[in-house]
Amino acid sequence: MTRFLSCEVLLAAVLALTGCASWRGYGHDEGHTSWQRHEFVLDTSSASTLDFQPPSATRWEFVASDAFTASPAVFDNTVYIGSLNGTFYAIWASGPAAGTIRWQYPPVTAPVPPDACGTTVAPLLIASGSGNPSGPGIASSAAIAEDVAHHEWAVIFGAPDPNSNQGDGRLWALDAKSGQCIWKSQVIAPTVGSSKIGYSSPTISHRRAFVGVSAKNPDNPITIGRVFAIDLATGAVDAAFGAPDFGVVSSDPPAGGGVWSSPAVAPDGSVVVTTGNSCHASLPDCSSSLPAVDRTLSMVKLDRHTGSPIWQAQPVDINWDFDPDWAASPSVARTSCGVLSLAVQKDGWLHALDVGGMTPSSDPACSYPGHNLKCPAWTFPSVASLPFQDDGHGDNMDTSFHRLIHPGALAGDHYYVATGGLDVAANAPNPFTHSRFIVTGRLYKLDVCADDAHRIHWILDKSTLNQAFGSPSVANGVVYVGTLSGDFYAVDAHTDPTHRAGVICSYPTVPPGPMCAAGNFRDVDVPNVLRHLTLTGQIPGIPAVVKGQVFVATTAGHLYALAP
Amino acid sequence: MAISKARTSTALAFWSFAALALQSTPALAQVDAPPGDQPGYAVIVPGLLAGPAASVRFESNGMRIQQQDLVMGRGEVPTVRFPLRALMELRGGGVTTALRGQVQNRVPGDFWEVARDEAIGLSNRGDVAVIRLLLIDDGQ
Repeated sequence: MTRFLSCEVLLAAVLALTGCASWRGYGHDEGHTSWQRHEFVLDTSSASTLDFQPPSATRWEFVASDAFTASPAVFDNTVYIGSLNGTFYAIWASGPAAGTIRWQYPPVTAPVPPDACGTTVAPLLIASGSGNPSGPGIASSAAIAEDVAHHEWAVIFGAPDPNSNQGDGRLWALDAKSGQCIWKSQVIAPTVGSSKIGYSSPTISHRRAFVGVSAKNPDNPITIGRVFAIDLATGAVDAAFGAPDFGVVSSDPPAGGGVWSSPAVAPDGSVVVTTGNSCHASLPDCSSSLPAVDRTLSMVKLDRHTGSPIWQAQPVDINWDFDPDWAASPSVARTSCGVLSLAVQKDGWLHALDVGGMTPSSDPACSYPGHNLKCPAWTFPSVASLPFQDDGHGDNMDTSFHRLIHPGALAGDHYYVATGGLDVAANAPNPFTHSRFIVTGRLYKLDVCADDAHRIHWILDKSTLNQAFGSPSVANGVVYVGTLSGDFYAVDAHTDPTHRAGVICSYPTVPPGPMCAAGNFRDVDVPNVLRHLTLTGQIPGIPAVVKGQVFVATTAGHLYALAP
Repeated sequence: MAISKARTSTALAFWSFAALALQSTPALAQVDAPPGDQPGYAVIVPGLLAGPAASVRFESNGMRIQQQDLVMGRGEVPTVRFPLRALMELRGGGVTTALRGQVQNRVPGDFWEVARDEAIGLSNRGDVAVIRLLLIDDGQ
């Protein structure tokens, strides 16, 4: 035992010194697991004292002039995050300058001459018509990349270029230490094409940055979603990847399949993306002339060299597309039952796909005319068949227009996610009017390798408080998650009787016990809430956990560092 | 033993619905659970729960319609009977019905009618199914 502890302490020290304990991009890693494996300070005990007050070398609060809808990245004692005000911030994470600006971009004082990106002090904004909270500034979370054009470390994010057609979308690469511009990519989201880089965050793999493009103004006009591979050395589009279209490419008008999410990279190097709705439910409307090639509302696995699709899953038939975008980024990782890609769709259904090999695959059981589709390994809640061919698949999932667009956290075989759960059937076919917070206010711990009957491990239910969950992260047995009403929770991740706070029926609104059993549902555990804080603003993003601190950004423009 | 249990369930279902149907309901009154409230379920037969009922009575001819949602988890309800003529709509999930000797897979949006005291079997192939039930009391 002593020897084991010594090794653990030594390992922690080595990891801290080598910088493994960082959070280098959206969802922590290239698979977007949101799982911090190298957290040794925070545990179920110390997490119960997390706070941002009183201010200290590890507790602080930074306030920007506009919302943060991006999630923080943390590296080299610095928190990196862009704001919808068009400014990208590097904030000291801890120490005597904790919570103060290390640098910001564009800089406060205009460089003379303008820097390598041609930037002065103009914020990175789309001039007008940027639609939802993925604009007008920076909604794309940053990724940290090593050795970019002779810079040891670079920070890379998507943002509008105010000097190009009033906000053409590009990737930007800045020196992580100084904020100096290294390059800006070619335009990949032209405003004249009504495109933008919205919530999509670059994922770094194989010396390239993969990022998605969606509509500038959601659904009107809807544009073709795309994924680009950008060469890290130069900022040029990797032509070999082909900038594949994920939208409707063979009909009039060609439109749909916006990539609002962040591409994930699987252990085999392939790229997995989720795509948005088609032109069936948008403008210009194409419902009378549906496309022959259709990769909308889908999870698609791509060859990392060519961008060619390996497989496609489309759980909702395009004819029943009432805008249930697949906007949550996939979580991709190796589990005990293979490499899985998981993401919840806006209609509340969670699908798990077996990532498989590089041979194109599909299954007639889940296909329909003109569509060769792969079946999910499982769907939660389980369904009799796919694709859905009914009108219960729409956009908003509660009466405050909250949406299921948030990725889960995948730690081994356990997936922590806000998903529709067993209530999604009750809310069909009209989620606009029938749901309250039942759908968005439940955080699940699911076993991704269990059978359907044993999928749920626990449910944290805040629906009766009208709280809708954002994106969780997990570290060292603690789940961290915010809500869209400003609540922050640290939750005991464990599943056993000594850690539970009670039981709840798996079906919402049915009391646990005999009534639950009589409906063929089952009682499941309620986890212990270790800490509850009320913060200012909505918390849609992923809390980043690094070396005893939790970094949380809000739509009120607050960035918090929580520590014991 | 299984038959005996099914018969007991059927009887329970009949009398549960009979009790509901006989409740006096104000004309055009509607019962809605306020947001956040627990709706209050009743067990119709093992495997099938009924949510709160809302009903309307037509003053002109005395006809009454009662609506409620039925919820079932994965599994089978061998037999259920209704004390009134029933119109059922699958709102979510996928169920198989056994009615008048016909077994049929239903998808959301499907309607089917069940006569008074007629036996129907329900089987849910997914984790959850929601069925809207309209009980029609035409005064006869």
